[in-house]
Amino acid sequence: MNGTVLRALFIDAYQQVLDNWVFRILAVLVFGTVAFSFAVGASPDFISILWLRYPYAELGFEANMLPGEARRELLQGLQSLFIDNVVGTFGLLGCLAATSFFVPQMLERGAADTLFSKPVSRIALLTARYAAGLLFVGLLAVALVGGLFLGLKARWGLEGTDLLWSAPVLVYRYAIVYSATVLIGVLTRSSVAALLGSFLFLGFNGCVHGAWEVREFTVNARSQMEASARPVEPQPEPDPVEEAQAAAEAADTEPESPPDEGLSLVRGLWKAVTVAHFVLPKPGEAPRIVELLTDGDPDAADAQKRAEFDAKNAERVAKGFRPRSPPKPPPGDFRLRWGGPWPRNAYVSIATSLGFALAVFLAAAWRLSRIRF
Amino acid sequence: MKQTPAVSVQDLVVRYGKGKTAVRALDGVSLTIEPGRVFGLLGPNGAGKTTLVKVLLGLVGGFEGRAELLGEPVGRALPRRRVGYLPEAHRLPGYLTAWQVLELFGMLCGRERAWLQQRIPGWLDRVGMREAAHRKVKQYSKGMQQRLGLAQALVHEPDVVFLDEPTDGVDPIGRAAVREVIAELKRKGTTVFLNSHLLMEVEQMCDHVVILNRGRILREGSLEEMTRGAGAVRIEIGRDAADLAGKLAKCGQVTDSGPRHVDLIADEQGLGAAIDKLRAEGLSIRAITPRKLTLEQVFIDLVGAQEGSAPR
Repeated sequence: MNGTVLRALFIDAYQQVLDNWVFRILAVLVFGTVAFSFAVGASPDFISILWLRYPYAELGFEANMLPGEARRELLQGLQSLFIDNVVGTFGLLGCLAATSFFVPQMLERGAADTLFSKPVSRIALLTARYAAGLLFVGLLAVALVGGLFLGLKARWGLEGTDLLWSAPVLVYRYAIVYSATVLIGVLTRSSVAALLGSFLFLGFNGCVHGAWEVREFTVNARSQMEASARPVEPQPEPDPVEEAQAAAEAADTEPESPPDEGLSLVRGLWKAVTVAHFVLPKPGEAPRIVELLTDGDPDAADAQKRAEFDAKNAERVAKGFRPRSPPKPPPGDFRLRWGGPWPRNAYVSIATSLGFALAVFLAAAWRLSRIRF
Repeated sequence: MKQTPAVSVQDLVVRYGKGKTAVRALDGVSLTIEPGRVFGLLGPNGAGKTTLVKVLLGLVGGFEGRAELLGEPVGRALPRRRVGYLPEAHRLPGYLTAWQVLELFGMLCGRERAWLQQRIPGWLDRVGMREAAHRKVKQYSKGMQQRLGLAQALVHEPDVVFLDEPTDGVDPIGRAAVREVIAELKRKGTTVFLNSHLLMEVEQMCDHVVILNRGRILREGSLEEMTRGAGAVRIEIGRDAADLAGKLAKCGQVTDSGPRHVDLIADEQGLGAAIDKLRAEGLSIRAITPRKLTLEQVFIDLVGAQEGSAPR
């Protein structure tokens, strides 16, 4: 495929996006939000609306109400709640609704004949439609996040570029879900089926991951409760010979547990949920990925907090006070981490999600290559 | 040196469905089209015309036999760069303007944007779309879309053009413009593959015709050969006579009759019997002239004869 063809496909995708009325509505909403961020600002001493300044003292608040750290936390909260969760969920649904017909429309009788008779491979044409969807979301995400970044920098004194991570993560989130829309579109060649199928898939996907999260939370919380209830006693070093003998005796005497059909069904179900959790894409983990990208390594942050705690404890002991027991992690703190164990590893989450998207897209391309128009 | 045929198919079989319910859309079609011809593909609905075109354009795969386009096996991208296609009931992207449509499809065929921008105004003029060049396709009438479809098939100046019902939905003035475009292509030496139900149009534009029915070629030849009308004669008599058609019905196929003439399709024996019959009636024969058939008559005779024969 040469540059001319690529350029043609890009122009086509761009025109298709610009002509979409949902895109225009979302663009107006984005513009309004960005304009608001330029209109309203806050500094350590006052709130500003357009060119008017209202010192906190005049509004009945204490002066220096929003120092740098508080403003930073407020903006982080805004990023997490508004961009990563509200826009990442409802915006994603809107974008899916608006772009679900891209592929089926290309495959309609008449349209497909004209397009697929051109000397361009079918997979290239499908990729172009997929890219049109990404362009749709990419333009909106860049406009929203970039605009907010500039507005907050100008009016709130935002420091750093953490906010900008939200834009690629929004596109990533959409990209992994849209691959399923593309597959449904190719299989059914119906815009309505692609739209409904995408929402059903999102719902099913959410249920699977939700069920897995609940189970993980329950198992974690129970093991933590059991660990805290058990008295900790110093254990003598086990003798390897005695240990082996005890294990052999236990194996001889342990009665086989009777098969429980109900229990095995539940276990089988959980296994299926676990497998599905790792196979299916995880768009819901995108906000956490943004947190990881912006906060750095939470393990390192925890280690630093622990070191600070230990130092304070040492001071207490030096002053003759009893040492405080270290804070326990909350039950269910099994959030995604860069260096976490593999079910909770952010790299694994991203790799499995992208792997799913790629596999689904290739399945769509294979099916398309077999269609007789 | 022998030229590479524009289209060459050999024992082409295309099946839809599997097992006992499978339908043979093409059943052993063999055909060669020399470059520079305007080629008419005729047949009733479901004859396999569109399937044949789609095989040649790589839109339908999984066929048996051999199919080549411009000397290369179909399905390859390279020959398709030199091919233009106007499908029946086509749909162009509604979000583009006419200008953008021509740019898009021209670029997909490998033409540079600057090259196209020089030629697009000319094509818009030829199909009468200059005024609406910058309006979105979704605002066009069916006829306008058809004319734009023709321009998109030709904008990259292909060597072979497949036109499936090119005048469908076009008004008489537009039809004349389409005919003029096809005549121009013929003058330039472009091979045109015309698929139409309007047999008069085919007769006006094509120099070679194939009649297809039930996936098989019924007859192939030049337009002259097709319409020469073996055995078609007009017999003129000296005075008015009643029921000439009834009198000669047993001698052959009467296609038209009047008080002083009868048009008959008959073999030599039938013609002799007709002459004897008229003389026996006391009618003097003024003239017997060989008559040229219309393509429509040939088509109806051939297809009608097959439809009346063995079931599919």
